[in-house]
Amino acid sequence: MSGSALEPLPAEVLVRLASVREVVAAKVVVRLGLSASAGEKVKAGVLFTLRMLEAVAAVGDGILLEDQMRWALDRLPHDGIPPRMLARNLEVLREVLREEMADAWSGALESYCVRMVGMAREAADAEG
Amino acid sequence: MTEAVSRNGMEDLAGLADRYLEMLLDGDRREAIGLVMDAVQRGVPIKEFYLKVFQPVQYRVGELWQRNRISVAQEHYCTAATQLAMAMLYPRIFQTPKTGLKMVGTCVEDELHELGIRMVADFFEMEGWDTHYLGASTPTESVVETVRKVRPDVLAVSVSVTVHLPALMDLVRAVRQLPEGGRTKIMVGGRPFNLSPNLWERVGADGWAADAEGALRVAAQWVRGSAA
Repeated sequence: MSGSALEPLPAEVLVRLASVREVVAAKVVVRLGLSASAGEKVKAGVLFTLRMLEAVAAVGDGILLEDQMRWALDRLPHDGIPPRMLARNLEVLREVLREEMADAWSGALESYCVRMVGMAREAADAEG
Repeated sequence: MTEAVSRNGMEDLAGLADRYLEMLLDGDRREAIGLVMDAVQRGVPIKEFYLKVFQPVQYRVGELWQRNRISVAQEHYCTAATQLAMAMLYPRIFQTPKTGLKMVGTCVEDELHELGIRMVADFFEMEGWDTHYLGASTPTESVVETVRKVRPDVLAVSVSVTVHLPALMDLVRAVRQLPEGGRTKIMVGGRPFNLSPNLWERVGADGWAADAEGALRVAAQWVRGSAA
């Protein structure tokens, strides 16, 4: 997994993604069954992840997506989110996103999610 | 400046960077700034100092925070100290005779990492450009308004965090729509561009540069091109 090209998403899909940001973040927190304080932290992280996804999908860039994931996997454990938890959060994010974006879901959008989850899962497995 | 001083200056800069960082991490801003001023007084060129001390030190500060080796407060302290050191060099930087060329330098909206673009603006100033440095997180409409008023030869925009790329694309589109926008070349820079080849084209810019020195080279090519 290294920087291979990802297809840019059409402008209307990016607009749609931005419009469901808040709803998706709220649903992810509910589905993860987190406490109020943990929920706030994860919600902020999900909102940032969605904005990052919109940014990399606007230019179709796997290198940037992977750089952001590497950054997250390096930094987030210090903020109490180890790779295993990040992988779980991203899996739930993918589920919710797929539901909320059902009419605009595509292989291209799926490939961004697959790559994020894959990197987090790989880091979690490496931890043992 | 003699060749010996220059050579010694070059050789010393990595060590100087280590000492500068150490002083900042010890919370000794006064000593750190003294180190800068002494080195410049000895003849180390300011541009060299920017590229080989300030820039690598700031990268290391960012990495140290990322790995939780320093706190946010320490990171901010180091950055503020470097900004102060740069400001103290301004009497030297702003004495260059002007060429008539104009540059606007800014961070895109919501982007807070301003040191890189500030270095770029200072390099242009040292080359005699009339620079309009707008700083961190400048709203898109304010940048567009500045371009409309100033009519710069170059608009240099910095994005350090990938999440701000859509704001950059909005800004580029807005500048292109200005009647005067055609005369302004748009240069982009920052971490995403250093990582991803041709990203600058995908955001609609005219070019990109990896650092302040590269930015000057690109701008010089544009100026030569428009004069030809």
